[in-house]
Amino acid sequence: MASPHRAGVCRRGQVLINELTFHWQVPTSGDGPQLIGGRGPQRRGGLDYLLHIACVAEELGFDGVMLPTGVATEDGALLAAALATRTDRLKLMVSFRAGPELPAHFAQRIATLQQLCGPRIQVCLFNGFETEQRSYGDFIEHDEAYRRADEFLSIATALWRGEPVQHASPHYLLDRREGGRALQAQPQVFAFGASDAAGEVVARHADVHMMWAEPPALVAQRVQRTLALAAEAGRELRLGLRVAVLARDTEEEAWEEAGRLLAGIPDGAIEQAQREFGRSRSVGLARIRALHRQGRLRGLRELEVSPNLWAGSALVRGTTTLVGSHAQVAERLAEYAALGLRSFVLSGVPNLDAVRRIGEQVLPRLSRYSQKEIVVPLAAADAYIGMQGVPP
Amino acid sequence: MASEFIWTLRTEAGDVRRWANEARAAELAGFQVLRLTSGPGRPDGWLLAARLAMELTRIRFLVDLRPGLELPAVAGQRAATLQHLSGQRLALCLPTDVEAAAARHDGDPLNHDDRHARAAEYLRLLRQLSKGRTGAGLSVAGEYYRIEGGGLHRPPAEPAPLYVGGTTPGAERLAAQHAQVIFHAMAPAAELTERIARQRVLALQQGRSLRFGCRLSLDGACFGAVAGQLDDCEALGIDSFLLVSSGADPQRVEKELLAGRRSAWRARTAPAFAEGVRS
Repeated sequence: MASPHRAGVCRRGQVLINELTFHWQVPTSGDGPQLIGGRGPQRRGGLDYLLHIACVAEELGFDGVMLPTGVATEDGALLAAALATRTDRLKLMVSFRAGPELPAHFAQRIATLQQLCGPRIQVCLFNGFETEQRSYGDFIEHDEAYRRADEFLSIATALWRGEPVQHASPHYLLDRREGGRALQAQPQVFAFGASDAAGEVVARHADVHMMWAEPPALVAQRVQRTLALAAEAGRELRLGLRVAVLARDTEEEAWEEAGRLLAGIPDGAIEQAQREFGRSRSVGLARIRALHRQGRLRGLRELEVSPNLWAGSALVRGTTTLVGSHAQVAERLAEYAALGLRSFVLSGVPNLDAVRRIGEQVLPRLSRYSQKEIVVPLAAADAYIGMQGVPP
Repeated sequence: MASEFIWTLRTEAGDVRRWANEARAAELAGFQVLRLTSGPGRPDGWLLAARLAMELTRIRFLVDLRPGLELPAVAGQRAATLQHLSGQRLALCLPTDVEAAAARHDGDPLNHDDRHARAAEYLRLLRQLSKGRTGAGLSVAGEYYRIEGGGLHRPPAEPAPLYVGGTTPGAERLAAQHAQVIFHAMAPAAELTERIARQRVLALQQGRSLRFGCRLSLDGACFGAVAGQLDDCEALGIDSFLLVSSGADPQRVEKELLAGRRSAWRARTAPAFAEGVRS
């Protein structure tokens, strides 16, 4: 698709505040004052700490919490069962990958979770990286993994609807000629995936297509592409953004804190992370890596790849971070909302401090953009489009 | 030594409120372990355990491993989380008598013999992975599983004890190699004696020791008869009892079947143990 964006181009859009949802990502792989462990006090991740974060998120008006999946995390579904006992209305988003379990088993576990917690369970497909998959014992090619995810979600959602399933493929064999009981509510399906192979699965099965935070110009392109794919599949799709946030009273304080995080990355950790990320065939990851030029950008502000969007955190983690004053972070979120993104999954370092600050200082400011038309500058687009690793 | 009593939670019907009430009653009655089965038409035992662990403080949770349905690394990760959530109160059960139809219902196409071989590999990997990740990680290419760079990043503080049920030669070999407790169905004393002797030898050959358990049904039997069975079993060295019933109340079972036995043990055993029963 030819890019309609050129330097200086803007996009206008409305912030439909009542349609926005905010989730906080629970740090189930541990939390601390730095981007990754190593220096600083002991990382926190005990049950009470995680429960506390969820309770604060609920109290401050977040719509839900996201429980990530990965080799270093606590199991998300089990934690959701525990968090449900201390929260009332918080949506519980359980991330999953299709490889490590069979779809009927997954469907039953999610059905149980809904039975235990009420109709507030959401699921989020995250394909993961190849090295992680292999450490689980799952050996599959990137595109094949999405074809499998397609079958996985077809089976799971059919079972949730109480439909019979007869499925025979190299991946799965299931023969349930008689349907079962349908779930009280169909769990909302979120999905990550930036590749073409992912796009089709997302368009067919997801209710919300999640993307990592790239500069608005690139996000605007992905929004168009996703909506086009969904239209082809005859479906309506929401869009979501996964981004970390670092907000302070003033811009200067926020960047000072970002500087502290950057300085706190242990020697060699960036090289190690980038070597690992570089081996992955994940397109989403390749796009993020292109922002910091595969780890070559190291200066605090040269990593600010578009206003307030900092790729410094992505040197050692997957996600980029919005850095700035409370007002600036609110404005950037409003801009993404104006581009069509509706579901935001946020995190911050350390998470208990960050969820409180964002809940108290940033989310309330978003309401001032309600129903307003915002002009989003897409000026930075040309700097990234077609650059190495970023599919056009 | 005092016997361990396991209450089987009835989850074929009902809702979370009823299950939580029955589980609480079992804990109050002094049952040490709550068995949460898995299977078609029932809630997932692991998730129910996670939920119940938030409100129950003493009882341990015995949940099923499912080698055909999830990879050993995932089971290990989930077991570690459940250990964390429950304060190390998890116990794992490998059911070796899953019917082929039930397995196929969940999409597991393997036949019975292959399932034993697979379970052996599964348990071996689960144990290795649960030691945690060191260096480049665990790499294996087995008959059923292949792993590259494996090992739990967050290993459990304590490995969960393993219970194995079944009396087929395959199940006995599995138990001898991996289990802490092997379960029997109730049988005449002579038969139980022979089985236990054989299993002791199998375990000894592995340099291990095993505890023995028995499954007792409370349905259609008066408590007097069950008490007799308990006596017979204990005389054979069986010290773990999985009680199964379709309608009994755990507190009534405690009062009418177990209470007398407990006071008898208290009288027989050292004060240190009596302390443990009270706390």
